Amino acid sequence: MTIFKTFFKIMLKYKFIIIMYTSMTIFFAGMGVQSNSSETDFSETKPNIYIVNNDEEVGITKDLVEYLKQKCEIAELENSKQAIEDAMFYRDVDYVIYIPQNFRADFIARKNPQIEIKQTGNYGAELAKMNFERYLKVAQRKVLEFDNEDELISEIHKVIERETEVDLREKIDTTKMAKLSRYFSFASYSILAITIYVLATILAVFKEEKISKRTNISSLHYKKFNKSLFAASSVFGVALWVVFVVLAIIVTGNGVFTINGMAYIVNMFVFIICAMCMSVFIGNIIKDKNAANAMVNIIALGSSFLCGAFVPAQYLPDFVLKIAHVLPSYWYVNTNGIIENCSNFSGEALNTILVNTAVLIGFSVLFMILTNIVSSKRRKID
Amino acid sequence: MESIIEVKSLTKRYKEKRAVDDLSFDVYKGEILGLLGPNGSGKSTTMNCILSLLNFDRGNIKIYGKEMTPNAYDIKRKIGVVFQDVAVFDELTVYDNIDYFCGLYITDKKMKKKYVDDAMKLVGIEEYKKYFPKQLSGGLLRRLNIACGIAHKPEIIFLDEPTVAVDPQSRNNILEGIETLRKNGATIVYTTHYMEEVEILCDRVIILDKGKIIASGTTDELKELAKTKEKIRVETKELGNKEIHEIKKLSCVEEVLYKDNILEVMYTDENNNLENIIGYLKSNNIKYSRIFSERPTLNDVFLELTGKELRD
Repeated sequence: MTIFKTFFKIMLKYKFIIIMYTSMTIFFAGMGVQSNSSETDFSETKPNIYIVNNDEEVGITKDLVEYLKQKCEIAELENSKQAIEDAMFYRDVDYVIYIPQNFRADFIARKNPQIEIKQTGNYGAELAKMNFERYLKVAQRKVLEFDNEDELISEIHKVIERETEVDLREKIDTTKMAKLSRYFSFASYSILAITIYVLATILAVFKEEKISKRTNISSLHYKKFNKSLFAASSVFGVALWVVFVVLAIIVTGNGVFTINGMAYIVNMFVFIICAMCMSVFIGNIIKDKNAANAMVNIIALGSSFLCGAFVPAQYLPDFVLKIAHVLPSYWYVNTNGIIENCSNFSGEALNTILVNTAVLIGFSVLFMILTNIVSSKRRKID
Repeated sequence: MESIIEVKSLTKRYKEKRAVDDLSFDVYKGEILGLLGPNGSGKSTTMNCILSLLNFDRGNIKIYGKEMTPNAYDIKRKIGVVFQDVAVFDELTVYDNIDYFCGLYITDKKMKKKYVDDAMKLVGIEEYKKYFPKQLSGGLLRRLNIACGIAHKPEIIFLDEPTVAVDPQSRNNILEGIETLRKNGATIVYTTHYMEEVEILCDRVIILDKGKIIASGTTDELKELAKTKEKIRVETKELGNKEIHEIKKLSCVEEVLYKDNILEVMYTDENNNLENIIGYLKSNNIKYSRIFSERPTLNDVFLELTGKELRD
């Protein structure tokens, strides 16, 4: 109990560091949440087109023009080459359709008349092209089956007006998930910084040669000593996890109480275990408690930059992400990204999450083994 | 006398260098044994070997008749150690530091509190109980270091140079504290290179040099080893070669030095020397201002045995 109590007495000496890093998470993750809070809205738009009809506006030609009027905005222009080119230059018109003379007659006669097109190549032109080609392809297929023009037009409309009902059975609140992902990913920096700073410093204090000499000569069994330190570290880890979960609720709202939210929390728990194992290892290799601060800068800051905790991974170069694979933060942040876009936890998404979690556990085991090797070497007396 | 610690043929090498060379000695119940020697003579290495903080190459160490090993927790319970370097937590207060180190041995809360209070009182740092180590002077830090080592009221106490770089007030306080510990029944192994402390405190002394015991015994027994039994210093301006020659011929005179108006006469016997020299000065009408008589110190013994000073 003496060691357990002393662990927390020493920890209290570093309370300002803990508060500082926790505040950083609240501040930066909070800012990220605000910047993500603008909701995406959709409005229907129609591409601007112009039709130069050199045929008579009857039969299938008339139907094509009517169809295009429904799907697109027809620009009012002077029918001259200069006016059309000016309109396209200024993007007043995206798509120009030149219906040739005798189009109707040639089409019914299955002569496959060519329609000249001019386009700007922008998004509106693509949309107009899609609508126009849809009508034309259906008409070209149906004209082979029907000789009667009225019947042909009727059949064309049956196809192009067909609609499929889509039932959206699951819906992800992408804004809320983005907020959560941002918070949990940024938290990796603070968690690493706090665990390394606090645990590595405290362990370095306990393992300092002059102090550990006194501990070694005492009647306290070294296994009991290690158990007490482990218990205190575990309590610290769980407390840190609870604090960051509560902060998640405060900063991001009730998104935490969803399956995705729970997945973020579990992922964070595994990451905290890994961060603790890493910190214990660092605490065993550093010779001076002051070195913990340098370790925070190198490991916590470095891995947060490399692994996408600060800058989303999609903006990072491939070679940086390849290097990041050797850092636990990469797997944690990667899992957060998957959870953000996951509507149901099955198939490939679940597999990737499980693999990432296994990698984090693997890192934890590796750090534990390394810690055992280092501390048993330290315990050996010359 | 009951032997509590038995060290037999202890040898510790660092590569080719023998830090401790075939050391054998006993520590008896209730005594203060001084390990005296210059820096690098093997005092701390011997202590660390006894405490199982260092492996050794040869020899045997028994405490209370049982072999001392790193896992001898029942023996460790009875031992307190005050290391040469101050070993305390900078992050804990004076009270919390003593409480922590006492808590490694004592689990009962009430008893622990009493022991911590007693330790603070013994070294005189009660009024600093809420201070952090960085707020303490060097002397107070040393006192805290001692309190941390002896708070659990051990039967055997190892003190490794506890007064290094300490102000006179703290040194007196520490020495008084050690005396009190002995009175309370503790057996103490005290390593130092301050011969004055050894002479004040220790019942027996072992003088070490280059890892070997070069002499051991009580301070009086050790002083007997010195050829010079008494040294008399006289401040006088009136001595010539003739007088110096005559003084050399006086009874038991071993050596005579005269430099900067100071006459030093070394005697091989300690009886009537002052009387003889004063008699000679008076009979020859030689005026003198001050006269001192010195018994040999442990440093003189060490100098004669090794040809160098203890503090070299």
